[in-house]
Amino acid sequence: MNMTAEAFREQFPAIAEHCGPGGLDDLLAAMETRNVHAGEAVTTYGEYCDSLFLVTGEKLVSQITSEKETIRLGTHKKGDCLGEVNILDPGPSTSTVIATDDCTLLVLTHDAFRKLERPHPQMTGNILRMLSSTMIERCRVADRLLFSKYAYIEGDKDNDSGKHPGLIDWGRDMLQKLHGHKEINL
Amino acid sequence: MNIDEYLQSVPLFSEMTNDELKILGQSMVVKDYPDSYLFISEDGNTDTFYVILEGEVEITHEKDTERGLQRVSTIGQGGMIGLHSLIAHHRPMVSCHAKGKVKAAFLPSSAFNLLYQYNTRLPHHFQMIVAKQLAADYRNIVDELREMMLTDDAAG
Repeated sequence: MNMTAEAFREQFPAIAEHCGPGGLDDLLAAMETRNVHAGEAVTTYGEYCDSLFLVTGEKLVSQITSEKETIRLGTHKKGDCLGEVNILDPGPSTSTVIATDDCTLLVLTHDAFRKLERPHPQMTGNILRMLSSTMIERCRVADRLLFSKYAYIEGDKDNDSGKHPGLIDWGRDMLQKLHGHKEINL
Repeated sequence: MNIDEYLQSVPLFSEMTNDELKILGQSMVVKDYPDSYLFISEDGNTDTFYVILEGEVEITHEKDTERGLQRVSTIGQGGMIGLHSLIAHHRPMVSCHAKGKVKAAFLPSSAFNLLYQYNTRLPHHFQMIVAKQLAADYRNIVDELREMMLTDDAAG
């Protein structure tokens, strides 16, 4: 991969802060570069993915779709990460992410990350902790919002979610927070 | 029952070797708890992870809600509570109390941090287990929201 350690530290400080000099070199070596064309999907909702993507170039849009409708969640720009959940636990993607322009990504797969555990246990442990903390914060904000007003409660005759005013806006807001497009304030 | 033998039967711990489970088991304490015992409270901080060995634990939420006490779910044998407390030290979103007598094994986060210092692979594997559980929780939330948002009723 072509990115230098210095450039990586500048673009991805939250990850780089956990890497010593040798660790960062090995982390960069473990990553692949992926060039994506405008309109191409990086992840597709429901489809298997095992990678964390680091955005080094132009923007990507994140959305959730059904056969009838699309909910636009937000954009990922240079310096952002996506796919936190997939590198922790490879499985179905939780959103579709599409490049709006030709774009370059750094890709770290689950297996490549696990191979770094033995030579760099502290670095990988700290990155794992950082990613887990992000997931905890997102789950907590969802729990808090769900509990606060619109949560389904067994036996409650007013449960019909469609009756709640502003439900769609609220649901979109929560999905945006869950995908890291809005700040979480707890 | 040895806790490590029990943990071997929990799918989430399948990534750990028997030796690692033995060390983890030796670090956990098995204890009997009376009915209504409060394992985790929304009003306090928690730093302990529990595995339920026998009995049931009820999960509730009451704070900052317009609807009063909400019964979220009941977990039984093999269920885990306080997993997040090993990674992040936030105030819990739910309370967990014994529904009848409960036998559980617990691991304080201080013991987890000690393990982290002396044996690098075990806590790493354990942390991966926490991460997988978090990922499963996250996917469930997103899927439920997506279903709610994109159904004809909600959209209409």
